Amino acid sequence: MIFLNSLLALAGITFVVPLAIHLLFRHRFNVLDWGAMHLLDAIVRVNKRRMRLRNLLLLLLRCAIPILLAICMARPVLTGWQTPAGDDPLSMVMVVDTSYSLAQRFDTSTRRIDLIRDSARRVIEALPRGSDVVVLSSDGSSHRGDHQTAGTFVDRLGIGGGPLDAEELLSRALRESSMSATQRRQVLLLSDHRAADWSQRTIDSLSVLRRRVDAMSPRPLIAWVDPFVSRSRQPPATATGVVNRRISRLQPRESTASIGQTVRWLVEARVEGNDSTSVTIELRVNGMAHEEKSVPLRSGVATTHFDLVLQADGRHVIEARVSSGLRNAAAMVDAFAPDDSMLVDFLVTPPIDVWLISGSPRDGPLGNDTDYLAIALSPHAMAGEIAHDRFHTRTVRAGNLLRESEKGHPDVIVLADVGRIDSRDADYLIDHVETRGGTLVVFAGPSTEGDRYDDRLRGSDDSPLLPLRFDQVIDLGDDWQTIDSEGLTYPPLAVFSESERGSLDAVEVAKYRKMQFRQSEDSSRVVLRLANGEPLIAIGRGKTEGAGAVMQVAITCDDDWSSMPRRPAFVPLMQRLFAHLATGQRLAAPTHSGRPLVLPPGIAEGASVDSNAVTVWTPGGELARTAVDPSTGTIRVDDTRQAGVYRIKSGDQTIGFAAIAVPTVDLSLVAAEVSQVDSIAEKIGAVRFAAIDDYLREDSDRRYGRGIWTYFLVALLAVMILEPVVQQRGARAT
Amino acid sequence: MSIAEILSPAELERIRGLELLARQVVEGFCTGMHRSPNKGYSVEFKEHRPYVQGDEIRSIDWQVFGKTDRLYVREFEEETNLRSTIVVDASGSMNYVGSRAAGVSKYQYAVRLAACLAYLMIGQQDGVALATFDTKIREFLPHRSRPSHLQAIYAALTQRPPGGETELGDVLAGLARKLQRRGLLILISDCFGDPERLFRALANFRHSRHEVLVIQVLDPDEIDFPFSGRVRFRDLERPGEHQDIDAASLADAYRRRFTLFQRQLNDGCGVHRIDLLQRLTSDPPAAGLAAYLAARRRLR
Repeated sequence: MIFLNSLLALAGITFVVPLAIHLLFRHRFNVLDWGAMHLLDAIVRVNKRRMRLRNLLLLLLRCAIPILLAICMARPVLTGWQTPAGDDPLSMVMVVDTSYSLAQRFDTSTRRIDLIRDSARRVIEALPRGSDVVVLSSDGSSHRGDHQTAGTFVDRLGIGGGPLDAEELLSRALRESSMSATQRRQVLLLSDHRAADWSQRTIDSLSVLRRRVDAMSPRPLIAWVDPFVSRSRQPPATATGVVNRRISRLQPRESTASIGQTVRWLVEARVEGNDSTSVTIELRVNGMAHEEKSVPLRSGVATTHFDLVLQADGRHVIEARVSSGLRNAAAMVDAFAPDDSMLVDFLVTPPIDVWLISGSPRDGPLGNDTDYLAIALSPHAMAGEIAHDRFHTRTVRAGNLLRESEKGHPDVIVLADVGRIDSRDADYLIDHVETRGGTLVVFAGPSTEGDRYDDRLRGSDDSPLLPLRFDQVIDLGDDWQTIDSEGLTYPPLAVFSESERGSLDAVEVAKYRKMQFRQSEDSSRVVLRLANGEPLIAIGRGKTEGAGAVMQVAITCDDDWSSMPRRPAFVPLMQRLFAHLATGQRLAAPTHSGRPLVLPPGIAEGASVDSNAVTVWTPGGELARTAVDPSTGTIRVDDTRQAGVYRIKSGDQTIGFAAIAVPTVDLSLVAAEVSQVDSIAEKIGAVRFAAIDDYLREDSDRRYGRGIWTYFLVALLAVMILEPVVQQRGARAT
Repeated sequence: MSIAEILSPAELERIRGLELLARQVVEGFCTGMHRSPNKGYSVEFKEHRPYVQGDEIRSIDWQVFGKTDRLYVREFEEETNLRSTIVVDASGSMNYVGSRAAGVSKYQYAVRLAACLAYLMIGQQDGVALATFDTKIREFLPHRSRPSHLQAIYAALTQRPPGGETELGDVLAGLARKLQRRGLLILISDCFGDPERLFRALANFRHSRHEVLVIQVLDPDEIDFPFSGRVRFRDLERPGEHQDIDAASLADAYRRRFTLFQRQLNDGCGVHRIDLLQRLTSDPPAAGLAAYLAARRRLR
């Protein structure tokens, strides 16, 4: 312990004043001749010991008053056994969580990010002059400088990027800290510490980081500040004066569409809290308002649909937004803005070219195996209105594939009961799937022999291209089987599970070719089964990056083995399956902010685009940096901190859009348990602070020593209160 | 020494209008104002009762015999003189003079009370004895009712200043042996000492059918203990002994102890049917005495 004003401590010597008074006046009395001595004797005899102790206590208390007062004035600080660092510069590496979860509001005006920024700024302002500051944001941005430039950087930090990757950020922070020449090093993590941020893998990785920390010399102080511990750790809608509206579902009936095709979009919004009986749901296309509806709330849920027709091919971004049903200031503030909207990518394609190859071509109406399929895929072609069809079908003879391809490659090739595949066709088919990403559909039939297919059609890893192996034909006789349409999960088939659309029930199968699993996990490839459980349709994928799909059907595509081609469900079933297979794989699930956006070379369908001329623009209108892979032509955008609609341009022309969604993990606002955060902090040897004030106080104590004069002041007040109390109570106690 | 030196004219005037009347019947030599338990010949008729063998013939009321033809004996109450013994405490504790007593010590106050009583009783021809004591009887004047006895009493009261310890029990036991005939015992003292021993001695008097009046003389300081600061209390009864205390810190305890002592005194008096009259030296001596005597007369 040291004294800041050590000279004033000398004033403590004045304790001799009460002591001297006590000693001097010890033998001074007023003398009184007293008669009732027998009464006094009895009292003195009983209280003599207590009186002595009380007098001694009073003497001590009276002596303590000047001593404590002198100590208070001398401003004592606790420094342990070390010399306090004072204003020596230090190296501060600050890891700031800016993930979308920090958009949560405490009240109508304060968001979590505001508190994080404020905390970071206060830490920077409290740093000694000359300190190095490195700020690492969870959105990937960083800054190195002094406390002035770091303050400006922190002020500009906004919400964005992916979820907090604690392992990666702490690793970077330690690297930055180890490069510092300063002896005093600190690593500070400012985060809201949500449960979702701390996966078991992340927690396990901390032990490695701990070893790195322990090996550093001098060892940095690692501090975690959770400014929200003292605030509500509850979901947002429980905050005062706010309500949380969110889009819980945005789903198209079709996974892709062709130009001019009407697609119905189902939108579901949920409201936690209550400010009106309805919400306004807006559908936006490529960042532009399209249609708006006022939807009544039922038990906090509002459901509606929009019919959308897109007239341009390419990649589009469909967005649903929810807002209050109240159009004025009466609307309550939304507690968490990122979940107010939902974005999905949606692909509008030009007509899909389908080659139909029949195993036993015949003339005459519906003579070919593929005739039913041709009608189902391009019904308008029968009336000569080919422009209205989504699929352009063409019948091609087996053995002519290579020659036919001179006019262009198809998107889908259908083999209908093709018994023999020559090697040239086989090579073409393998290239079609694995190199060009095309789709291959194989219908079984009397001539389809599994061994031949497996011998001819083998992928780049020498494994069969067909997901299952065709086996013998099963003739069901009179025991015809129906199709099991319960609980279908494969996206294009899901609509057939709904009762009003479940017309697959009417399909009857008399014969089928049994399809054997090659491995146990092959059962997951079956997307549709017969009622007896036998696989009806299985779907696999080529073995290369960007390979197309392979669909395998256990029945013929004419009505020889089943009634399917003659049932109404055949047209939508084939159209949905073919559209999904031909286009779905080109569009991955929406990219989350903070993750790189990878655009395939054919970003604009049918357009010849030079990848090097493509630019990508952020929702804020800034040009994002892009990188083109020269081998594949894919375009990679790393700067996806901001969620929203990214515009893709070739020169001045917009050729598509891409959705960057808020990471799902950041929409979960459940905070980690304090005990869990403590346990995690302990793993890396960090000290956790419940508030930035606690951290700043601790830091100040560390630098200047811990001011303890207030404790002495409290003691002084206590003594000053105690002294008359002892005097009065002592008198009463006797 | 004359009464005028002890009592003021106003006090003498107040006492002169009073008469001391014993609540109980006591024996006496002279026919006076006090009833005697002995029935005999006097002017105060009491009752008739049937004649029994052995009664004197002269006591038969022949007028009643003439009317009723039965023998009745007339009985009269005999009036007697009061034999009072005034016992004055002359121990050291009676020497205390408080700030509110106008320079009058408890002993001086007791002397005035004793003089008042003696003056009153001799004035009505009652016999008065006087004893002063500390650890033993220092002065004793036997019962006399002559006016000249008053001068002797005054002289005895003022002869020696008070001093020494109090030993009420032994003193009263010795006095009891001297007072064989029943009468009125008036003890004027601060009663400081062991209450048990005091009442054991007074019980002897009550057993001998003495009427006992205890006049407790106290200084107001001894009741409320108004002292503060460090005070050396020097014992008035045991020279050289003292207690050095922080007076304020013990004031409450003293008051509680004093209250307890007074309760013991009151209880003891109640048990033994002894009148207890507390007098403060800050009050005029005659005023309280007058009130007490008036109350006694109402009880008669």
